[in-house]
Amino acid sequence: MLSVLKQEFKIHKKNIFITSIIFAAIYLCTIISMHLSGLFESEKNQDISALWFGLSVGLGYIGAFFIALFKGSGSMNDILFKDTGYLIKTIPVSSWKLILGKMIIGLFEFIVYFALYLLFMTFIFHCGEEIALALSMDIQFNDFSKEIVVLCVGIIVLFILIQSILNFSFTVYTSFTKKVKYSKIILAIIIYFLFSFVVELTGAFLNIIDFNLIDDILSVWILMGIFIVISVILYIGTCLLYDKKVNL
Amino acid sequence: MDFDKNVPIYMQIMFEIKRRISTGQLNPGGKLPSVRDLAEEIKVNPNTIVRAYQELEREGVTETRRGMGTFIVDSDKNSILQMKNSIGKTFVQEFIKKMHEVGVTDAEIINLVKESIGEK
Amino acid sequence: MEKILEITNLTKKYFSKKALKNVNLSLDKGRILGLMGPNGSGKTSLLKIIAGLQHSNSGEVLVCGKKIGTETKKLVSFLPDKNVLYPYMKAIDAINFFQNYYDDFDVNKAFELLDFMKLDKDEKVSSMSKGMIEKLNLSLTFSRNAKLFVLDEPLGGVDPVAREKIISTIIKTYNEDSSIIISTHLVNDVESIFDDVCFIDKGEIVLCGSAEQLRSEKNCSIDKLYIETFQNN
Repeated sequence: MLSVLKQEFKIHKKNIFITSIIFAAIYLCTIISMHLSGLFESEKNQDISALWFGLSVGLGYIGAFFIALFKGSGSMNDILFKDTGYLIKTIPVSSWKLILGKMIIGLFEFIVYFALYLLFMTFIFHCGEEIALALSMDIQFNDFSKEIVVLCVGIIVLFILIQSILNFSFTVYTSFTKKVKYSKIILAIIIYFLFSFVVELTGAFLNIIDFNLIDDILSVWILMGIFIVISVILYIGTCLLYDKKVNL
Repeated sequence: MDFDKNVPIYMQIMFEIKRRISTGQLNPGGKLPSVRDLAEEIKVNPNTIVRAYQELEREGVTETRRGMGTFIVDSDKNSILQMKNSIGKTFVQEFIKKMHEVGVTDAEIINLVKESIGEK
Repeated sequence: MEKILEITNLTKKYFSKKALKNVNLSLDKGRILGLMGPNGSGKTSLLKIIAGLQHSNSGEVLVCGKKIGTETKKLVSFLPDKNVLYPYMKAIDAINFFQNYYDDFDVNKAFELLDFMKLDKDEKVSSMSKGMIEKLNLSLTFSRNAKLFVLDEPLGGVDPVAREKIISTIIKTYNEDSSIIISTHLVNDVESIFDDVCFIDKGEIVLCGSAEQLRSEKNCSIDKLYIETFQNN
């Protein structure tokens, strides 16, 4: 297991570093542009800073999500759809350790990007009032810390869930197909069905629990618990399929 | 060393070693290359070389001394002469067979040989 | 004495097509086996099953008495017929990768082989020619002290000099405790390094035996025998 973690980290550390730098640069530009718009209240600067603002805040976490999801270590893309899959399937590591190790590094990668985003957002909110004034927006900045923790954990759990769904879909697809070049359509259909299934499953669970009796925060924790359980089941399924059904 | 792949290789190796003994390239008492060295040199499976060495030992041409290698048996000039003759005989038999295939009679063969040697 | 490889009644299907039909094969230690057959005969499927890349539908494959799985992957060193290294990897990265995952990997031997093949340890796979990648892959494969080496078309697409180096490396690596299976089309160039040969056609073994014995029985080279056997298809 340690060897998987070491190796996967080695393989991905350069990407993580470069992507982090890019994110940091974007956030820095946003902050700078907003500072400038604070100093010079011309129309033009406000538009540019609003653009930067929208970009970073709006896309920062989505970008982090998708980059970590598809390009990160946790994605089984490399080992199922590329020739490097041969290399990985011949190493004497069980699929449990391999896939778990990859997902851990993938999660680490997402947390790095997400942490950068949070840092940036914290900075924004700290200067929130000043910015709101500068951008002539009327926003209340209360103490959100408790909700923010739950939200962050929730986003991380969501990442784990979606990564598990994708990996399971990829593995299901490779289990019954011989071709290395994959049909995106069939893959998309599998992913769609799996997502729907997970949503249905979640809905079914939520129907069982009477939410009037539980407060909001607890219900979020319950939802996350459900997601974790589903992720674990998908992980087990992925490992079993990769072991028994995937032919390279 | 080039071999004919249509014939077992170990036999050709044995033949080549005997030939070198006849011409004095390999001396009695001399050491043959190790199986591994020879295998790498002529790009042949080591087991084939082992077989060749074993057969040579069976024929009394070589002997293996444990831990030291395979050596050509120390023999007198007579045995070398015998080896030369036995190799020579193999060639001659092949030659006669080929000549018969072309339709040359025995008497004609002897004349042709005498002529060719005389020409040298 | 345990056989290095024991295959019994092996069948492999892709949907309805049978890639391998009732294949029986066994290999003692210290042997070099040549697996030969036309394209699509099932050679690659057989080798991939031994390496753990594919699953059989029925039958049994045992490596040193063990069923194919994580344990046999420690004993089998597989050389694929294409590049499987990450393109951005340098030779030294690949060596680290192997060292990380394989206990039987000999780093010193790896550097020796890199030297012998005249490869630069800092060169990236993406900038290497096909021949260089083959040599690198071969160096990595043979730096392991495996019990069974499985080489899938190791000589395809390499120039004669590289070919000689590859054959040299195979002979140098040979030892009495391990065995080597080589699948190849280039029968003529390598037949002298095989102990045993196996012809496979349409998923079935059509001929199996000691190379030298076949030469003396049939009075012809393995190359000619191959042509004779497969000409009628």
